[in-house]
Amino acid sequence: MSIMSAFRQDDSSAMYKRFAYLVSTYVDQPEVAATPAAQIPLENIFRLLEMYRYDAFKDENRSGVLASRSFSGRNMPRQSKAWHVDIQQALSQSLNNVFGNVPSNQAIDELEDVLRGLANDQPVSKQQQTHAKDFFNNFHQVLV
Amino acid sequence: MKSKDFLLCECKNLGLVLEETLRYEYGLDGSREFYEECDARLQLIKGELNNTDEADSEALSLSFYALESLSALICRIERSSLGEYSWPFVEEFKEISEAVCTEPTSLKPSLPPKVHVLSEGGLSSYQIDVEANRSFAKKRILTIFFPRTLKHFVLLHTILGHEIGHAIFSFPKFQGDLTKILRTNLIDPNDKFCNHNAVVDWLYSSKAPNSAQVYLSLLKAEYEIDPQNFFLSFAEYDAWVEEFLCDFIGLLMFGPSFLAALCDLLYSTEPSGAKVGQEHPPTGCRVNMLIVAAQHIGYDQIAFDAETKPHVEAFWASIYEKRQKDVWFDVFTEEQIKNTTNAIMGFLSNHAKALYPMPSAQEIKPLVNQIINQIPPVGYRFTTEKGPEHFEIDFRHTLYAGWIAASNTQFPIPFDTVNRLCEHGIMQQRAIKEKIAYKKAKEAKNTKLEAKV
Amino acid sequence: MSALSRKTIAERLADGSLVISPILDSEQLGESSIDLRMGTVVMLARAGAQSHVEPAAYKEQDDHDSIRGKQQKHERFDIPFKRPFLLHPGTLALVPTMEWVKIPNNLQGIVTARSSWAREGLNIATATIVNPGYRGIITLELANFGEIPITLYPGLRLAQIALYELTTPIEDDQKRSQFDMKFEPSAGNIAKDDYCFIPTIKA
Repeated sequence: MSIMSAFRQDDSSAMYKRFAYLVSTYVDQPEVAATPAAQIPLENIFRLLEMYRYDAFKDENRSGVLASRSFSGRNMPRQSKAWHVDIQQALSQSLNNVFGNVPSNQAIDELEDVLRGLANDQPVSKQQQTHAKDFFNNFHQVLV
Repeated sequence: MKSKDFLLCECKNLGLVLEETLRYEYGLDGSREFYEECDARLQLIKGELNNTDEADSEALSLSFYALESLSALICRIERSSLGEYSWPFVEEFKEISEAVCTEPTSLKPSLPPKVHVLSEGGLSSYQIDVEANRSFAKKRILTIFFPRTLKHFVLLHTILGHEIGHAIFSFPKFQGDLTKILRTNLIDPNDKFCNHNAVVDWLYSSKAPNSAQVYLSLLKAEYEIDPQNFFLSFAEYDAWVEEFLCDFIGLLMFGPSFLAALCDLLYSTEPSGAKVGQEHPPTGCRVNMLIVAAQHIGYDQIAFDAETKPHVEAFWASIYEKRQKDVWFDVFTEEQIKNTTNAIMGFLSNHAKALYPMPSAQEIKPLVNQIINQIPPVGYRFTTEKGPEHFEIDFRHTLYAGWIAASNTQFPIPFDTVNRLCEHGIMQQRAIKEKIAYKKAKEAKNTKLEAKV
Repeated sequence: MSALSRKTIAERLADGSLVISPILDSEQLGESSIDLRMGTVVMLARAGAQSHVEPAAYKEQDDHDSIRGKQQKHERFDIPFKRPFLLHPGTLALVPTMEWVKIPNNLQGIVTARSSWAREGLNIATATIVNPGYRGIITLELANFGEIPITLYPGLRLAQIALYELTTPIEDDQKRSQFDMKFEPSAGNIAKDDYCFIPTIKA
């Protein structure tokens, strides 16, 4: 057995919380957003919005088609709730807080436009910037 | 050393290892994209660590695991070598996987993932590892694993059609579309697979074959897995359903070759066909389902002449032999299978090259004949009137011809020889493809010039 | 033995009694030869692997040392189409033809470099004889006799094969060569059947 076998908790919420914060700072610093390292948070948040749009949160890596059928009985304990439940809830809440009655797909389109603009170093309108900044700040706060 | 300092030191080490990977030629497309992707990830982790307080254990842990995955990825890249897998197969397979696994990203409206290829020990290493949506990744890297020992066994490599199904399913938009297809067509509210309870009732029924019952009692005796906790502590219902979906995708992407590879490989690892895995439903159910789907598509209905027909019949007979007679294995109705096949066919037809094109007897026959005569199968013919002539051949037809030739009993050829002939044929066909493309481009240029004049 | 002319070669290719597959261009057929293209593998002698060629290292019964010797002798490179390979002066490289050949029992092939390449310094180290009844790729033993490196790309026409009719065809069941049904080059056994002349080297 490996000497380092600490049980790894799901850190998806912590990761998205951090990425949401970073993206909100990029809105004010587009020159940072265009760097290769900054594209990682931008792309991750983009993929999260896509998962939300299509309600497609199955993100497990499946074992190969011929993977061994052996079962040790000591596999990782199952989480009481899926990894995405809190994140999905926080997204819904932030969309509602910032975009009000705007249909969620329309709000996601706008947020994705901002992410694309930042990633490609293209101008984003002032209003879109404000919406995006509010949204990512809100999501960062709401997500526990 | 404090945790943060140690992790920063590890960043530096990883940077050096990343530089060392450039010593080797890995992958077909060179190293630049991998290097830049890994470097961006490393820079982000380093930046995050520099901004992290030593006391913030959650942030440190996040960086630690991000470094761990990056380290594993870089070492995978370092271990990849063209000589360890069949690159002629990979070149063709990559074209399909890149076409079908393209997703919208923040950088571009559609971007294919970066494909990385590796060989691993053990027959069960066939896999496509797709980086999760939630990962420290700018561009997702898709790693295709081949069993090292099966380097030249291109006929079996068609099993990767199933794995590409998992890759497709990991992209949010496709996951949404495919989930709808499954809910509408395959998972009927009243059938054996509609929910956890229904599956458990079917699995633990007294009608289950003896091998299944023995296996389930073993799970009970050794791990206390019973009908009550089967899906709570052992198996994953969603994963089982995803397996069926990926089988459909594999069949529709690779045609009869996929079905043959699946039968050979799955029954070799689990001959009874009745055992279950945590992520895998019984093999027998999958094979029975796919045979119905293949018949519905009409793969076995292609009219061959008297010379090739016996070989084709021998191939299909070897497939039908694998069908489980016990109706317990038929978990879906014919109607459900047909509707799902049609719906997934519709889905795949939106992606260029994804769908296996129904071959004609005229395409398959010469390929089979070449293999039987121990010549690599290619779209080539020589006549005294016309000299050499070339034809475009989809590499999946070459593989189907390989399976037919391997099943023929009249002129038996060892399976490894058939595989190597097919692999060589795919390589040669690549040259023919280049030649045809060059000729077409030249003709187009001449036509343009003539039009100008 | 008489050399086959273009017309006879074409007839034999058409009736399938001679196989050279695939011929990508009718230009490949010369007046009494067929051009052969470079395949996608290169085997180069590995620097530092052997101090010298030693027939005694080839054992009748393979053991660790002989297998290791064989495996370490060459560096193997896979070169997909449109990728370059640089052949340095004085270097010997084993390269397969892209074409697969099946020589009937009544023909023998002789492989030589194409003259245009020979003028650039590229030579087929020996004129390779392809035995009657042979099936597989042909291994080209390429050497750069010039003074500057030569870039090679798989698919280039480097060699040519001329075919000669035998006075008497070989029997069908005649012993196949150690290289029959080869898909890529490999080192031969220089000591095969000659062990009686080789002293046993003590470890």
